[in-house]
Amino acid sequence: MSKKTPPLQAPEKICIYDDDLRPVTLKFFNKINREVLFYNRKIIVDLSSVTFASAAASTLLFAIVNRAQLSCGDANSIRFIFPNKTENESGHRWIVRTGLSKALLAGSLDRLNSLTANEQYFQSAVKPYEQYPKTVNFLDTQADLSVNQFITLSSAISEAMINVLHHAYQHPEMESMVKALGGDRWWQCAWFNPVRNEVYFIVCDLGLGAGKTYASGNKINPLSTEVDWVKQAFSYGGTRYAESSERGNGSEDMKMPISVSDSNNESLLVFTGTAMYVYTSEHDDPVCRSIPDHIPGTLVQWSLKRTGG
Amino acid sequence: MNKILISKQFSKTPFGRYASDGPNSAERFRKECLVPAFLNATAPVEVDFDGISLAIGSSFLEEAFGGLVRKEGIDKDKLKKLLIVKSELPFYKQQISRFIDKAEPDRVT
Repeated sequence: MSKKTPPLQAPEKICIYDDDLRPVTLKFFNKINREVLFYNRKIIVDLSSVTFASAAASTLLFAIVNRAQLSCGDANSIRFIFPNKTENESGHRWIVRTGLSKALLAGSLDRLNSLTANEQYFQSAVKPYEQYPKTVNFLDTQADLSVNQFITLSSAISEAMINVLHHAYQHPEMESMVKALGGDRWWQCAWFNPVRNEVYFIVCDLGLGAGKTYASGNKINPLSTEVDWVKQAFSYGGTRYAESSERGNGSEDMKMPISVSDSNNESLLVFTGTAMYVYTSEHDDPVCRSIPDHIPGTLVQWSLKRTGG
Repeated sequence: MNKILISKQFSKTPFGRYASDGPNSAERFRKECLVPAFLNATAPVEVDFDGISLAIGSSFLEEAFGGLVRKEGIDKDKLKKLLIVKSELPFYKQQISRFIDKAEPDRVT
């Protein structure tokens, strides 16, 4: 007789920004992975007690859940208990009102396409040339950005999407995953915080990671670390194509919304592998540091203070 | 003067480096629009970005303009002398200039 698996309980706060909340959040994500992809079990994920879900962690959760659903070919392999509006208003706001709940249920290619067609904040795609215009038009109508912000953010997004196609999954060990995902897939989120008047845009893939991708194509110092590789990957000219001087310009585009900003409120945040890269308009130089937990793939987040069109 | 209005003669949505990146890639733009204009040019060629509905990333700009030097055998000095970039966004001109400066002809092995 098979024993029914109890619901997988989410932590109260789902967040990867905070050093204290990140380990428990990633442990929860790993449990989802393990249950569905390793043990091949159908599971129920209980999000009813979640009181906070950060933008980056929500996008990563969407990616982890969606990869599991697509990999096992069953859109209903993961069921959810979502926060109830009357019992947990805060959780309902972060999980349901943001559209994360719809994204978590989009376990097939058709349902994923519907997220884009219905202009949900959370979307996923594999074809940059199709998704880029839709994303930019979406941002144009939703986010009240200045012309400068809009142009530089659009350019940054286009390079981030191209990066997924050209780099993220370019490794033999990724081939079967790419097939299951229907291509070089990324997950994205446009997020607006009306209280702080900030717009966030996040692109996340579950590939090799920016540092390891860089290291795979370069002669690296044996004493160097993933932090060094990520720093290099996000420097001008940094690319896994060590012999190609024409490559490695995209990271400059990705930094441009921050570097050309007139204010001190902009930031670029990257989580990849065991490295965290932060570039803010307040400081001239980016900071890259090691984190004790492993983030799968690469997650890039831009956060801009809305200054109006 | 030869003029190329990208939005009319190529696409309003240029995107990507290689033909495999999408239908309106830099590779196609270079081969179909830039090479014919620059190959035997003696007069200035104006490339006009007016009417482009999306911001263009550096991978497109590098492959299109840097690629003329790297892959099409266009002389760098001649290109710099004849190319006129027309855009309301100054960084297109700055980026294109930087990519042309950096480009070196691909070695045939």
